[in-house]
Amino acid sequence: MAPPTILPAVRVARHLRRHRDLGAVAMLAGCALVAGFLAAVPIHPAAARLSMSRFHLRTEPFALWAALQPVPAMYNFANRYWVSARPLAARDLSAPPGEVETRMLNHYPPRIFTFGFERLRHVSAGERWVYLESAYRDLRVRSAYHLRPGPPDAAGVVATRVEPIPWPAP
Amino acid sequence: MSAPPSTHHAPIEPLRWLNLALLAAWLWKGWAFPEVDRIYRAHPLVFDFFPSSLRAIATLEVAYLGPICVALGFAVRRTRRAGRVAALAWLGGSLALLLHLGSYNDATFTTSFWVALWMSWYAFRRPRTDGDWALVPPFVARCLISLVFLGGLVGKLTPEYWSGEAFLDIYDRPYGVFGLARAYVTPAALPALAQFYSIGAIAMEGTAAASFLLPSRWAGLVTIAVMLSIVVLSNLLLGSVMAPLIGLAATATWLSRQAQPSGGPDVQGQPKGKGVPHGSI
Repeated sequence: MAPPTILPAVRVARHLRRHRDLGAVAMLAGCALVAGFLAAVPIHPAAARLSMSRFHLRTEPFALWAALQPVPAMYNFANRYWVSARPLAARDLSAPPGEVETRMLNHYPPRIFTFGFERLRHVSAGERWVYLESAYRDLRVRSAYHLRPGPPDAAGVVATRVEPIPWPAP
Repeated sequence: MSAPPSTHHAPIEPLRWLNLALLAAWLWKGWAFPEVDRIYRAHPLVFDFFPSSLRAIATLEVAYLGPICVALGFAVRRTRRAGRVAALAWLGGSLALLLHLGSYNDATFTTSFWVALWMSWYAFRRPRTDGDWALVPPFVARCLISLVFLGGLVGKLTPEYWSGEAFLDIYDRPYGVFGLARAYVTPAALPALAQFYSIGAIAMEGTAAASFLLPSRWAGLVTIAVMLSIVVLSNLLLGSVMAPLIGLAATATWLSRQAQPSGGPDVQGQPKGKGVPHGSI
Protein backbone atom coordinates (compact mmCIF):
# COMPACT_ATOMS: atom_id res chain seq x y z
CA MET A 1 0.00 0.00 0.00
CA ALA A 2 1.32 3.45 -0.95
CA PRO A 3 2.22 5.70 1.97
CA PRO A 4 -0.18 8.61 2.56
CA THR A 5 0.74 11.86 0.77
CA ILE A 6 2.10 14.45 3.15
CA LEU A 7 0.89 17.89 2.12
CA PRO A 8 3.57 20.47 1.27
CA ALA A 9 2.37 22.74 4.08
CA VAL A 10 3.04 20.01 6.64
CA ARG A 11 6.42 19.10 5.17
CA VAL A 12 7.50 22.73 5.07
CA ALA A 13 6.38 23.27 8.68
CA ARG A 14 8.41 20.24 9.81
CA HIS A 15 11.41 21.39 7.79
CA LEU A 16 11.33 24.92 9.21
CA ARG A 17 11.13 23.51 12.74
CA ARG A 18 14.40 21.64 12.17
CA HIS A 19 16.32 24.16 10.09
CA ARG A 20 16.74 27.82 10.89
CA ASP A 21 15.45 29.80 7.88
CA LEU A 22 14.44 33.28 8.95
CA GLY A 23 13.96 34.46 5.36
CA ALA A 24 11.39 31.78 4.64
CA VAL A 25 9.67 32.41 7.97
CA ALA A 26 9.56 36.15 7.20
CA MET A 27 8.07 35.53 3.73
CA LEU A 28 5.40 33.23 5.14
CA ALA A 29 4.68 35.58 8.04
CA GLY A 30 4.27 38.46 5.57
CA CYS A 31 1.83 36.34 3.56
CA ALA A 32 -0.09 35.50 6.71
CA LEU A 33 -0.25 39.17 7.72
CA VAL A 34 -1.62 40.29 4.34
CA ALA A 35 -4.00 37.31 4.23
CA GLY A 36 -5.24 38.26 7.71
CA PHE A 37 -5.99 41.80 6.53
CA LEU A 38 -7.77 40.49 3.43
CA ALA A 39 -9.79 38.04 5.49
CA ALA A 40 -10.92 40.94 7.68
CA VAL A 41 -12.41 42.86 4.72
CA PRO A 42 -15.71 40.89 4.56
CA ILE A 43 -16.16 40.75 8.32
CA HIS A 44 -14.81 44.05 9.66
CA PRO A 45 -16.15 47.37 8.28
CA ALA A 46 -12.94 49.23 9.19
CA ALA A 47 -10.87 46.94 6.95
CA ALA A 48 -13.32 47.32 4.07
CA ARG A 49 -13.40 51.11 4.49
CA LEU A 50 -9.60 51.27 4.57
CA SER A 51 -9.40 49.24 1.37
CA MET A 52 -11.96 51.41 -0.39
CA SER A 53 -10.29 54.63 0.84
CA ARG A 54 -7.07 53.33 -0.66
CA PHE A 55 -8.89 52.95 -3.99
CA HIS A 56 -10.02 56.59 -3.72
CA LEU A 57 -6.51 57.92 -2.94
CA ARG A 58 -7.77 59.18 0.39
CA THR A 59 -5.78 57.09 2.86
CA GLU A 60 -3.71 59.30 5.14
CA PRO A 61 -0.82 59.47 5.75
CA PHE A 62 0.63 58.70 2.34
CA ALA A 63 2.98 56.14 3.93
CA LEU A 64 -0.03 54.05 5.01
CA TRP A 65 -1.45 54.18 1.48
CA ALA A 66 1.98 53.17 0.13
CA ALA A 67 2.18 50.27 2.58
CA LEU A 68 -1.23 49.03 1.42
CA GLN A 69 -0.45 49.29 -2.28
CA PRO A 70 1.08 45.81 -2.70
CA VAL A 71 -2.01 44.21 -1.11
CA PRO A 72 -3.74 42.47 -4.02
CA ALA A 73 -7.22 43.87 -4.76
CA MET A 74 -8.02 43.15 -8.40
CA TYR A 75 -11.64 43.72 -9.42
CA ASN A 76 -12.65 44.60 -5.86
CA PHE A 77 -15.83 46.41 -4.79
CA ALA A 78 -18.56 47.97 -6.92
CA ASN A 79 -16.84 51.11 -8.20
CA ARG A 80 -18.77 53.72 -10.18
CA TYR A 81 -17.79 57.09 -11.64
CA TRP A 82 -19.70 60.05 -12.98
CA VAL A 83 -17.92 62.68 -15.14
CA SER A 84 -19.57 65.96 -16.06
CA ALA A 85 -18.70 69.33 -17.59
CA ARG A 86 -20.59 71.01 -14.72
CA PRO A 87 -20.95 70.39 -10.99
CA LEU A 88 -23.58 67.74 -10.26
CA ALA A 89 -26.31 67.66 -7.62
CA ALA A 90 -27.28 64.52 -5.70
CA ARG A 91 -30.29 63.95 -7.96
CA ASP A 92 -27.98 64.00 -11.02
CA LEU A 93 -26.03 61.11 -9.54
CA SER A 94 -29.09 58.97 -8.86
CA ALA A 95 -30.66 59.77 -12.26
CA PRO A 96 -27.80 60.98 -14.47
CA PRO A 97 -28.76 63.33 -17.33
CA GLY A 98 -27.68 62.21 -20.79
CA GLU A 99 -24.56 64.37 -20.89
CA VAL A 100 -23.13 62.77 -17.74
CA GLU A 101 -20.77 59.87 -18.40
CA THR A 102 -21.16 57.08 -15.84
CA ARG A 103 -20.03 53.46 -15.64
CA MET A 104 -18.58 50.88 -13.27
CA LEU A 105 -14.84 50.31 -13.05
CA ASN A 106 -12.83 47.27 -12.02
CA HIS A 107 -10.75 49.00 -9.35
CA TYR A 108 -9.31 52.39 -8.31
CA PRO A 109 -12.06 54.66 -9.71
CA PRO A 110 -9.76 57.75 -9.93
CA ARG A 111 -8.03 55.90 -12.75
CA ILE A 112 -10.71 57.40 -14.99
CA PHE A 113 -8.79 60.68 -15.01
CA THR A 114 -5.27 59.63 -13.98
CA PHE A 115 -4.48 56.63 -16.18
CA GLY A 116 -3.40 56.36 -19.80
CA PHE A 117 -5.79 57.21 -22.60
CA GLU A 118 -8.65 57.96 -20.17
CA ARG A 119 -6.59 60.83 -18.74
CA LEU A 120 -6.26 62.35 -22.19
CA ARG A 121 -9.99 62.02 -22.84
CA HIS A 122 -11.01 63.77 -19.64
CA VAL A 123 -8.36 66.41 -19.03
CA SER A 124 -8.05 67.61 -22.62
CA ALA A 125 -11.73 68.53 -22.78
CA GLY A 126 -11.68 71.46 -20.35
CA GLU A 127 -12.94 71.65 -16.78
CA ARG A 128 -14.48 68.46 -15.43
CA TRP A 129 -16.24 67.43 -12.23
CA VAL A 130 -15.69 63.79 -11.29
CA TYR A 131 -17.69 61.82 -8.69
CA LEU A 132 -16.53 58.40 -7.49
CA GLU A 133 -18.23 55.79 -5.34
CA SER A 134 -17.11 52.39 -4.11
CA ALA A 135 -19.64 50.10 -2.48
CA TYR A 136 -19.18 46.91 -0.49
CA ARG A 137 -22.44 45.52 0.85
CA ASP A 138 -23.82 48.33 3.04
CA LEU A 139 -20.63 50.38 3.10
CA ARG A 140 -19.93 53.34 0.81
CA VAL A 141 -16.85 55.45 0.21
CA ARG A 142 -17.39 58.53 -1.94
CA SER A 143 -15.06 61.15 -3.40
CA ALA A 144 -15.44 64.08 -5.73
CA TYR A 145 -12.79 66.00 -7.66
CA HIS A 146 -12.67 69.14 -9.74
CA LEU A 147 -10.22 68.92 -12.66
CA ARG A 148 -9.06 72.42 -13.59
CA PRO A 149 -6.69 72.70 -16.56
CA GLY A 150 -4.25 75.61 -16.45
CA PRO A 151 -3.06 77.68 -19.39
CA PRO A 152 -0.64 75.95 -21.80
CA ASP A 153 3.03 76.77 -21.21
CA ALA A 154 5.50 77.74 -23.95
CA ALA A 155 5.86 74.06 -24.96
CA GLY A 156 2.10 73.55 -25.12
CA VAL A 157 2.01 71.49 -21.91
CA VAL A 158 -1.27 71.84 -20.00
CA ALA A 159 -1.06 70.98 -16.31
CA THR A 160 -4.40 70.06 -14.74
CA ARG A 161 -4.95 70.69 -11.05
CA VAL A 162 -6.91 67.99 -9.22
CA GLU A 163 -8.85 69.45 -6.28
CA PRO A 164 -10.99 67.43 -3.87
CA ILE A 165 -14.52 68.88 -3.54
CA PRO A 166 -17.41 67.91 -1.26
CA TRP A 167 -19.86 65.20 -2.27
CA PRO A 168 -23.20 66.79 -3.23
CA ALA A 169 -25.62 67.11 -0.33
CA PRO A 170 -28.94 65.25 -0.80
CA MET B 1 18.79 23.95 14.23
CA SER B 2 21.71 23.44 11.88
CA ALA B 3 23.82 26.13 10.22
CA PRO B 4 23.64 26.05 6.43
CA PRO B 5 26.68 24.37 4.89
CA SER B 6 28.23 26.38 2.09
CA THR B 7 28.02 23.55 -0.45
CA HIS B 8 24.24 23.65 -0.96
CA HIS B 9 23.10 25.18 -4.23
CA ALA B 10 19.73 26.02 -5.70
CA PRO B 11 19.19 26.07 -9.46
CA ILE B 12 19.39 29.36 -11.30
CA GLU B 13 16.67 28.43 -13.84
CA PRO B 14 13.80 29.91 -11.76
CA LEU B 15 15.44 33.33 -11.91
CA ARG B 16 15.90 33.09 -15.66
CA TRP B 17 12.33 31.98 -16.31
CA LEU B 18 10.76 34.56 -14.03
CA ASN B 19 12.96 37.20 -15.59
CA LEU B 20 11.51 36.23 -18.97
CA ALA B 21 7.94 36.09 -17.61
CA LEU B 22 8.27 39.60 -16.16
CA LEU B 23 9.90 40.82 -19.34
CA ALA B 24 7.01 39.40 -21.40
CA ALA B 25 4.46 41.02 -19.07
CA TRP B 26 6.07 44.45 -19.16
CA LEU B 27 6.70 44.35 -22.91
CA TRP B 28 3.05 43.31 -23.34
CA LYS B 29 2.22 46.69 -21.84
CA GLY B 30 4.94 48.27 -23.95
CA TRP B 31 2.69 48.59 -27.00
CA ALA B 32 0.99 51.52 -25.31
CA PHE B 33 3.94 52.95 -23.42
CA PRO B 34 5.20 55.51 -26.01
CA GLU B 35 1.72 56.97 -26.51
CA VAL B 36 0.86 56.98 -22.79
CA ASP B 37 4.24 58.58 -22.06
CA ARG B 38 3.44 61.33 -24.57
CA ILE B 39 0.02 61.89 -22.92
CA TYR B 40 1.55 62.11 -19.46
CA ARG B 41 4.17 64.59 -20.66
CA ALA B 42 1.60 66.77 -22.45
CA HIS B 43 -1.08 66.56 -19.70
CA PRO B 44 0.55 66.36 -16.27
CA LEU B 45 -1.70 66.30 -13.21
CA VAL B 46 -1.07 68.45 -10.16
CA PHE B 47 -2.49 66.10 -7.52
CA ASP B 48 -1.27 66.88 -4.03
CA PHE B 49 -2.00 63.40 -2.69
CA PHE B 50 1.20 62.19 -4.40
CA PRO B 51 4.67 63.52 -3.53
CA SER B 52 6.20 65.39 -6.47
CA SER B 53 8.71 62.59 -7.13
CA LEU B 54 5.81 60.17 -7.61
CA ARG B 55 4.08 62.54 -10.03
CA ALA B 56 7.21 63.11 -12.12
CA ILE B 57 7.09 61.42 -15.50
CA ALA B 58 10.86 60.77 -15.32
CA THR B 59 10.30 58.53 -12.28
CA LEU B 60 7.78 56.46 -14.23
CA GLU B 61 10.10 56.20 -17.23
CA VAL B 62 13.06 55.05 -15.15
CA ALA B 63 10.93 52.63 -13.11
CA TYR B 64 9.48 51.06 -16.26
CA LEU B 65 12.47 51.06 -18.60
CA GLY B 66 15.18 50.44 -15.98
CA PRO B 67 14.14 46.88 -15.01
CA ILE B 68 13.62 45.99 -18.69
CA CYS B 69 17.20 47.02 -19.50
CA VAL B 70 18.59 45.14 -16.49
CA ALA B 71 16.50 42.08 -17.40
CA LEU B 72 17.87 42.07 -20.94
CA GLY B 73 21.33 42.10 -19.38
CA PHE B 74 20.48 39.02 -17.29
CA ALA B 75 19.00 37.30 -20.35
CA VAL B 76 22.39 37.63 -22.01
CA ARG B 77 24.70 37.27 -19.01
CA ARG B 78 23.30 34.35 -17.00
CA THR B 79 25.28 34.68 -13.79
CA ARG B 80 24.12 34.55 -10.20
CA ARG B 81 25.11 38.17 -9.69
CA ALA B 82 23.17 39.30 -12.78
CA GLY B 83 20.16 37.34 -11.54
CA ARG B 84 20.29 39.06 -8.17
CA VAL B 85 20.57 42.50 -9.78
CA ALA B 86 17.64 41.71 -12.10
CA ALA B 87 15.48 40.51 -9.19
CA LEU B 88 16.15 43.70 -7.24
CA ALA B 89 15.53 45.84 -10.33
CA TRP B 90 12.14 44.19 -10.88
CA LEU B 91 11.29 44.64 -7.21
CA GLY B 92 12.27 48.32 -7.12
CA GLY B 93 10.62 49.09 -10.47
CA SER B 94 7.37 47.36 -9.53
CA LEU B 95 7.19 49.13 -6.19
CA ALA B 96 7.87 52.55 -7.73
CA LEU B 97 5.17 51.97 -10.37
CA LEU B 98 2.70 50.83 -7.70
CA LEU B 99 3.17 54.18 -5.99
CA HIS B 100 3.30 56.45 -9.05
CA LEU B 101 0.39 58.68 -10.06
CA GLY B 102 0.48 57.36 -13.61
CA SER B 103 0.45 53.63 -12.80
CA TYR B 104 -0.73 53.01 -9.21
CA ASN B 105 -3.89 51.26 -10.46
CA ASP B 106 -2.21 48.81 -12.82
CA ALA B 107 -2.46 45.27 -11.46
CA THR B 108 0.49 44.20 -13.63
CA PHE B 109 2.74 45.89 -11.12
CA THR B 110 0.99 44.22 -8.17
CA THR B 111 1.64 40.73 -9.51
CA SER B 112 5.11 41.80 -10.66
CA PHE B 113 5.89 43.05 -7.15
CA TRP B 114 5.06 39.72 -5.49
CA VAL B 115 6.90 37.69 -8.11
CA ALA B 116 9.93 39.99 -7.87
CA LEU B 117 9.84 39.68 -4.08
CA TRP B 118 9.98 35.88 -4.41
CA MET B 119 12.79 36.19 -6.98
CA SER B 120 14.82 38.45 -4.70
CA TRP B 121 14.34 36.17 -1.71
CA TYR B 122 15.23 33.09 -3.77
CA ALA B 123 18.26 34.78 -5.35
CA PHE B 124 19.80 35.68 -1.99
CA ARG B 125 18.62 32.64 -0.04
CA ARG B 126 21.10 30.03 1.13
CA PRO B 127 19.49 26.58 1.07
CA ARG B 128 19.61 24.97 4.51
CA THR B 129 20.02 21.46 3.15
CA ASP B 130 20.83 19.95 -0.23
CA GLY B 131 17.21 19.45 -1.15
CA ASP B 132 15.25 22.18 0.53
CA TRP B 133 15.12 24.37 -2.59
CA ALA B 134 12.67 21.79 -3.96
CA LEU B 135 10.47 22.10 -0.88
CA VAL B 136 10.47 25.56 0.73
CA PRO B 137 10.68 28.00 -2.25
CA PRO B 138 7.87 26.27 -4.21
CA PHE B 139 5.62 26.37 -1.17
CA VAL B 140 6.32 30.06 -0.57
CA ALA B 141 5.60 30.71 -4.26
CA ARG B 142 2.23 28.94 -3.97
CA CYS B 143 1.36 30.95 -0.87
CA LEU B 144 2.04 34.19 -2.78
CA ILE B 145 -0.14 33.05 -5.71
CA SER B 146 -2.94 32.11 -3.31
CA LEU B 147 -2.60 35.51 -1.65
CA VAL B 148 -3.16 37.33 -4.95
CA PHE B 149 -6.33 35.32 -5.60
CA LEU B 150 -7.54 35.84 -2.03
CA GLY B 151 -7.25 39.58 -2.69
CA GLY B 152 -9.41 39.23 -5.79
CA LEU B 153 -11.92 37.03 -4.02
CA VAL B 154 -12.75 39.08 -0.91
CA GLY B 155 -13.59 42.26 -2.82
CA LYS B 156 -16.13 40.40 -4.96
CA LEU B 157 -18.20 39.15 -2.03
CA THR B 158 -20.72 41.92 -2.60
CA PRO B 159 -24.16 41.89 -4.31
CA GLU B 160 -22.97 43.69 -7.46
CA TYR B 161 -20.66 40.76 -8.21
CA TRP B 162 -23.04 37.98 -7.10
CA SER B 163 -25.64 39.38 -9.50
CA GLY B 164 -23.18 39.84 -12.37
CA GLU B 165 -24.06 43.56 -12.62
CA ALA B 166 -20.45 44.66 -12.06
CA PHE B 167 -18.91 42.50 -14.78
CA LEU B 168 -21.71 43.34 -17.20
CA ASP B 169 -21.05 47.06 -16.82
CA ILE B 170 -17.24 46.82 -16.65
CA TYR B 171 -17.10 44.69 -19.79
CA ASP B 172 -19.31 46.96 -21.84
CA ARG B 173 -16.52 46.59 -24.39
CA PRO B 174 -15.57 43.99 -27.01
CA TYR B 175 -13.49 41.81 -24.69
CA GLY B 176 -13.53 38.03 -24.18
CA VAL B 177 -16.77 36.26 -23.33
CA PHE B 178 -18.72 39.51 -22.99
CA GLY B 179 -17.66 40.68 -26.45
CA LEU B 180 -18.92 37.42 -27.94
CA ALA B 181 -22.09 37.47 -25.85
CA ARG B 182 -23.01 40.98 -26.94
CA ALA B 183 -22.59 39.89 -30.54
CA TYR B 184 -24.50 36.59 -30.37
CA VAL B 185 -26.80 36.65 -27.31
CA THR B 186 -30.00 38.65 -26.95
CA PRO B 187 -29.72 41.63 -24.57
CA ALA B 188 -32.37 40.05 -22.34
CA ALA B 189 -30.15 37.01 -21.74
CA LEU B 190 -27.02 39.03 -20.87
CA PRO B 191 -27.75 39.54 -17.12
CA ALA B 192 -28.17 35.78 -16.53
CA LEU B 193 -24.97 35.07 -18.47
CA ALA B 194 -23.13 37.76 -16.51
CA GLN B 195 -24.32 36.25 -13.23
CA PHE B 196 -23.16 32.78 -14.27
CA TYR B 197 -19.78 34.22 -15.31
CA SER B 198 -19.42 36.24 -12.12
CA ILE B 199 -20.23 33.36 -9.77
CA GLY B 200 -17.87 31.19 -11.80
CA ALA B 201 -15.11 33.80 -11.40
CA ILE B 202 -15.68 33.93 -7.63
CA ALA B 203 -15.56 30.11 -7.43
CA MET B 204 -12.37 29.94 -9.49
CA GLU B 205 -10.66 32.62 -7.42
CA GLY B 206 -11.70 30.81 -4.24
CA THR B 207 -10.23 27.56 -5.53
CA ALA B 208 -6.98 29.28 -6.53
CA ALA B 209 -6.83 31.05 -3.14
CA ALA B 210 -6.96 27.67 -1.37
CA SER B 211 -4.58 25.95 -3.81
CA PHE B 212 -1.52 26.35 -1.57
CA LEU B 213 -3.00 23.54 0.54
CA LEU B 214 -3.03 21.11 -2.39
CA PRO B 215 -0.27 18.68 -3.31
CA SER B 216 2.33 20.41 -5.50
CA ARG B 217 1.26 18.95 -8.84
CA TRP B 218 -2.41 19.84 -8.33
CA ALA B 219 -1.66 23.31 -7.04
CA GLY B 220 0.30 24.10 -10.20
CA LEU B 221 -2.35 22.67 -12.51
CA VAL B 222 -5.23 24.43 -10.80
CA THR B 223 -3.63 27.87 -10.63
CA ILE B 224 -2.27 27.83 -14.18
CA ALA B 225 -5.65 26.69 -15.53
CA VAL B 226 -7.45 29.43 -13.58
CA MET B 227 -5.03 32.11 -14.78
CA LEU B 228 -5.17 31.08 -18.42
CA SER B 229 -8.96 30.98 -18.32
CA ILE B 230 -9.05 34.51 -16.86
CA VAL B 231 -6.92 35.80 -19.73
CA VAL B 232 -8.88 33.96 -22.43
CA LEU B 233 -12.39 34.52 -21.07
CA SER B 234 -12.07 38.05 -19.70
CA ASN B 235 -9.60 40.16 -21.52
CA LEU B 236 -6.33 39.42 -23.32
CA LEU B 237 -4.87 42.59 -21.80
CA LEU B 238 -4.89 40.71 -18.49
CA GLY B 239 -2.04 38.65 -19.96
CA SER B 240 0.39 41.20 -18.55
CA VAL B 241 -1.16 40.76 -15.08
CA MET B 242 -1.14 36.97 -15.20
CA ALA B 243 2.15 36.27 -17.00
CA PRO B 244 4.35 36.80 -13.90
CA LEU B 245 2.06 34.57 -11.81
CA ILE B 246 1.88 31.89 -14.48
CA GLY B 247 5.68 31.99 -14.56
CA LEU B 248 5.81 31.64 -10.78
CA ALA B 249 3.33 28.74 -10.72
CA ALA B 250 5.24 26.93 -13.47
CA THR B 251 8.54 27.57 -11.69
CA ALA B 252 7.18 26.23 -8.40
CA THR B 253 5.91 23.11 -10.14
CA TRP B 254 9.25 22.59 -11.86
CA LEU B 255 11.20 23.05 -8.63
CA SER B 256 8.98 20.53 -6.83
CA ARG B 257 9.32 18.03 -9.66
CA GLN B 258 13.09 18.07 -9.45
CA ALA B 259 12.69 15.99 -6.32
CA GLN B 260 9.43 14.26 -7.16
CA PRO B 261 10.28 10.94 -8.89
CA SER B 262 10.65 9.12 -5.61
CA GLY B 263 8.42 11.28 -3.52
CA GLY B 264 10.19 14.61 -3.09
CA PRO B 265 12.76 15.71 -0.57
CA ASP B 266 12.11 14.23 2.82
CA VAL B 267 11.89 16.27 5.96
CA GLN B 268 15.62 15.95 6.40
CA GLY B 269 15.84 17.86 3.15
CA GLN B 270 17.86 15.31 1.19
CA PRO B 271 16.96 15.27 -2.51
CA LYS B 272 15.60 12.01 -3.85
CA GLY B 273 15.00 13.18 -7.37
CA LYS B 274 17.03 14.56 -10.21
CA GLY B 275 19.27 16.67 -8.04
CA VAL B 276 20.68 20.07 -8.91
CA PRO B 277 20.07 20.82 -12.57
CA HIS B 278 22.36 22.83 -14.84
CA GLY B 279 23.39 26.19 -13.37
CA SER B 280 22.99 26.82 -9.68
CA ILE B 281 23.04 29.70 -7.25
